[in-house]
Amino acid sequence: MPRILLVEDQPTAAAYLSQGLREAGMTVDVAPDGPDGLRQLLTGQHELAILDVMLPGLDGWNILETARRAHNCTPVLFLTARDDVEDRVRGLDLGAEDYLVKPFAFSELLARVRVILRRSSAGPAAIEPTRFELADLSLDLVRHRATRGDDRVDLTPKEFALLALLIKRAGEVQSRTVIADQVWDMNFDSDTNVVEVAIRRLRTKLDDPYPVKLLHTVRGVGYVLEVRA
Amino acid sequence: MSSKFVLELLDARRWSLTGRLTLFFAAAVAVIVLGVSGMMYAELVHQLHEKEELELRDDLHIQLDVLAYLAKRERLTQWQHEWREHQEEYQRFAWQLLTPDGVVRLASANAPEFAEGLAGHVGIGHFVRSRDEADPARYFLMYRVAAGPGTGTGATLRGAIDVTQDERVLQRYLRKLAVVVALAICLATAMGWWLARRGLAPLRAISAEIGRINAEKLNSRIANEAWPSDLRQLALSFDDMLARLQRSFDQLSRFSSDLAHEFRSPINNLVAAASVTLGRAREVAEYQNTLEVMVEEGNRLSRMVSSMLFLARADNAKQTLHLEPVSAQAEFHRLIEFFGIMAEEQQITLSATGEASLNADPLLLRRALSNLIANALHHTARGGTVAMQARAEDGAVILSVSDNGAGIAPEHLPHLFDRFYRVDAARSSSDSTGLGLAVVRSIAELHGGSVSVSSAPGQGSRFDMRFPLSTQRWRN
Repeated sequence: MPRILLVEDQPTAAAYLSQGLREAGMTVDVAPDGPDGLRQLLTGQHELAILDVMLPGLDGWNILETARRAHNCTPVLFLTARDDVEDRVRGLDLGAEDYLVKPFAFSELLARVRVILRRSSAGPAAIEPTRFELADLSLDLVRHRATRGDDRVDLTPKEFALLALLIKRAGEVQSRTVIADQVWDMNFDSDTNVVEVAIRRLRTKLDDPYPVKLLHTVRGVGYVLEVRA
Repeated sequence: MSSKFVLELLDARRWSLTGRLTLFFAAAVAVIVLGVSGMMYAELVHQLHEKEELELRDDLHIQLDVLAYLAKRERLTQWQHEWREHQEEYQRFAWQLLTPDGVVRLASANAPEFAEGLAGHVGIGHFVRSRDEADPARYFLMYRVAAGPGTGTGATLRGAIDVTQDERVLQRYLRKLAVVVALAICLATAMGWWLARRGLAPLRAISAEIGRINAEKLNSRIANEAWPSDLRQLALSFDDMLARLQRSFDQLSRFSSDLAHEFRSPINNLVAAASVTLGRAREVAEYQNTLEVMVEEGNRLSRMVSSMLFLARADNAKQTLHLEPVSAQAEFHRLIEFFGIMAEEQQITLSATGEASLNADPLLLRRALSNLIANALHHTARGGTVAMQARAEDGAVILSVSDNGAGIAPEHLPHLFDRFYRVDAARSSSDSTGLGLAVVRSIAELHGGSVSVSSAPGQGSRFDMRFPLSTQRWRN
C-alpha cells in the first residue's frame, strides 16, 4: 500500500483529502503545519508528499528545499490557491513533480497521484503495455482494434483514444478536463459538454448492445471504465 | 535622518518652486543692481580723475608761464625769491624743477609736505597716482612737463596735487553704494519670495482641489474652473486621468457586485441542496444525487473563479503570452475535431475556410475560438451552420466564427463582451459562467487585437477576432 504524506493546514480539506486517498487504497499521514510536515517527511518513508504551499510555520517551498538539501528525494506534489506562472515555475524548479491549483476535483488529484506513483515505482524504462483487457473488452493499441467478446467494435480514432485513456486507467475516475486534455489536447475548462457527447457516442457503440456495462458516469466528477457488480 | 535632510537640501531637483523662483529673481536683481552701480561708480571715478588731472595740468602750466616770464627778465638766481612769492596761495599743489639728471634745483615751499606725492618716477606728459605711506589717508596725483627754454636744457617741472578730498568722496560713495545694493538685493529677495508665492497660489489651489477628491467624488472635475493657462493643461490631463479612474472604478464596483451576485446563486444552490437533503433521513441514491448536484455547482463555481483569475491577470497584463507562429487552418481543424461530435449531434454543419498564419499563444487562441464556437453551437438550431474563417486584411489577420442561428438584438451588442452580461437574464443559472465572451475579448486584447460582433435577430451572428500584424513582433 503506497504511503503518502499530506501536509495541509485546513482541517476540512485535510480530512476529505485523506479520506479520499485512503479509500483509493493508500496509507495517509497528515501533518497540520510546516515544521511537523518537514519532520514527518524527513523521518517517515513516504512514496509521495502532497504539500500545501501556504502553511503556518514553514511554507511548502521551504519544506521541499530543506528536504532536498537533506538528500530526501520523496516526490512532491504541490497544492496551492495561487496559480501565477512564477509560483508554478518556482515549485517545479525546486524539484516538485507536479502542481495542482485549488479548487481542483478530487479525481484530478487522484489521477496525478497515481501518475507520480506509477512513474516512481516503474522507473523511466518501463514499457507501457499495448494490450488491455477488461471483462470481455479487449483493446490492442498497436493494431488499433477494440473487441467485445467476438465482436469488433468500430470506433473513430478519437473514440479509440478516449477508450484507450479510460482502459489504461481502468477503475479511476477521469474528469472531463483530463479527458479533453488527453484526447483532444484542449487543456482548459470550457463551458461545453463535448466530452459528454463523446462519451455518449462511445457508450452506444461499446455498451448498449451488451448486457455487461463497462463505461460509467460519475455525475459531476467524470467517467470511469470498470466492471460493476 | 538629518543627513538625509541635508542631502535633500543639496539636491537642486528637490528645491521648492517658491525657493527657486525667489533665487532666480534675487539673482537677476542683484546682477542688474550691481551692474548699474558699478557703472555709476566707474563714471564718477572717471569724472573726478579727469577734473583733478585738468587742475594739475593747469597749475603746472601756470608755473611754467611764470617760469618762462621770469626767466626772460632775470637770471635764474635772482628771480627765485620773486617766484616764491607767487606760491603762497597754493595749498593743494606743490612742484619741483628738476635737472635732466633728476636733481631738484628748485621747489615750492610746501614741497616737503608733498614728499610722498612727488616721489617716484614719472614720464613727461604722464600722470601717476600715489598714496602717502606715512599718512594712508592722503592721496596724490603727480604730473611732469618739460620746463621750456630759459631754465636750462632738459629741465623738467613736476607737480603734485593732494586729491585726498576726492578719494574720500569716492570711498564714501562706494560705502553707501554697497549698503544700498545689499539692501536692494535683500528687498528683491523678499519681494521675489512674495511674488513667487502669489504666482504659485493657483498651484496650491489646484493641489487643494485635487486633495479633496476621493473615491466618492470621482465624478468631480477641476478643469471647468478658471485656471491660468499654464495649469489648464495639467487640469485637463488630471481630469482625463480622473475619468479613466472613474471608469475603471465603476467597472470594478459593478464587477464586484456582479461577482457577489453571480456567486450567490451557485452557493445558494449548494447550501439549499445540502440542507434540504439533510432535513430527514433518505435513501442512499438521494444522497448521491444531492452530492452530484453539489459537485456540479462547485465545478461551475470553480470554472468561474479560474476565468475570473484569468481576466484579472489579463487586466493587470500579468498573463504571460507564449507567442509562436500558429496556422489558423491547423487550429480550426483541431477545433473541428473536438466540437465536430457535438455539431454532428445537433445536426449543425461545422466548417472552416481560409488560411492565415499569425503569432499567437496557441492555448489562449484555442480557448477564445472554442468559447466562440461553443456559443455559436449553443445558439444555432438543428440544421444550421457554424463557420470558421481566416483571412488577412489590411495589416491584420481576422479569425471569425459565424452562425446562422438566433442572432442577437441590437441593444445587447454593446455589452456583449462585458463580464457576466447575459442576453437572456433568466438563463443565468444554466451551466454558462457568463464570462466566455469577456475572456475572448481579453485574449484578443492581450494579443494587441480586438474582437467585434455583428448580428441581426433571426439572421445569425458573426464574431471577428482581429490580430494586427504590426503588433505581432514586439509582443514577442
